[in-house]
Amino acid sequence: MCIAIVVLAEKYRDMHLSNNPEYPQFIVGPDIAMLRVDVLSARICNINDEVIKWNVGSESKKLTSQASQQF
Amino acid sequence: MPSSIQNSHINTAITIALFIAPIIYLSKQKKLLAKDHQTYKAEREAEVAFLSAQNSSAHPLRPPLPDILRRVLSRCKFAYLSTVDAACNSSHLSLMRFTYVASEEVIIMSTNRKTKKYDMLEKQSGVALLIHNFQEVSPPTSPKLTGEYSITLNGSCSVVKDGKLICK
Repeated sequence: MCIAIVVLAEKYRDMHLSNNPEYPQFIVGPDIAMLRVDVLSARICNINDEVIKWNVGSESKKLTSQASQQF
Repeated sequence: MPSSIQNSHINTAITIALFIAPIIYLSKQKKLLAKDHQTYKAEREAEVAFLSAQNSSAHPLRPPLPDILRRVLSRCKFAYLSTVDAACNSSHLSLMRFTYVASEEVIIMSTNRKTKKYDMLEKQSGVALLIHNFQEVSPPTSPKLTGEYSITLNGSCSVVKDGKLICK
């Protein structure tokens, strides 16, 4: 008896395909690997060049326009 | 009742229906549009308040991800993925379709294994993602993407293993 174990990759593949139904050629196939990114930090910049930093493990600070160089 | 009178009533009913139906439809569309604008306005006000509140160091940003980030990630589908090209002492960029999994706070993407980025990801898992909510030409009923935020994410990228077939 064979049991198919649907692991995380297939779950992610289904979700990704559902979110991008027009691009199955990049999502489904024997050579297609699923990638998972665990976000560790983020910088959010708005049109007023205000930057907010977010970090998984430390406090974040809002920077002002001088931070634009980072973008 | 004579059939001519019946026909006249039917014609009147059809005429009224044809006249009223578009009015009802337009009225509903107008209400939907107003509701969308109200939601959009409320979201924008919340975002402005959020950005203003961060002026104080008493409100550091910690997990979970801020609402702005969640909203942009949920709406956007394209990202630029930067991988480390250690062999060339450089970096590599790829345009990717992504899906944000809100329940796990992770971003998922897919790639062919016979690609440069896949080779690089096997050697170095550190990546950067640039996401921008570009202004989209969208119908007035969905003024969702404003093109107001650019987000740079740094994270660890791993290849999720495929399913197995176990035979007993």
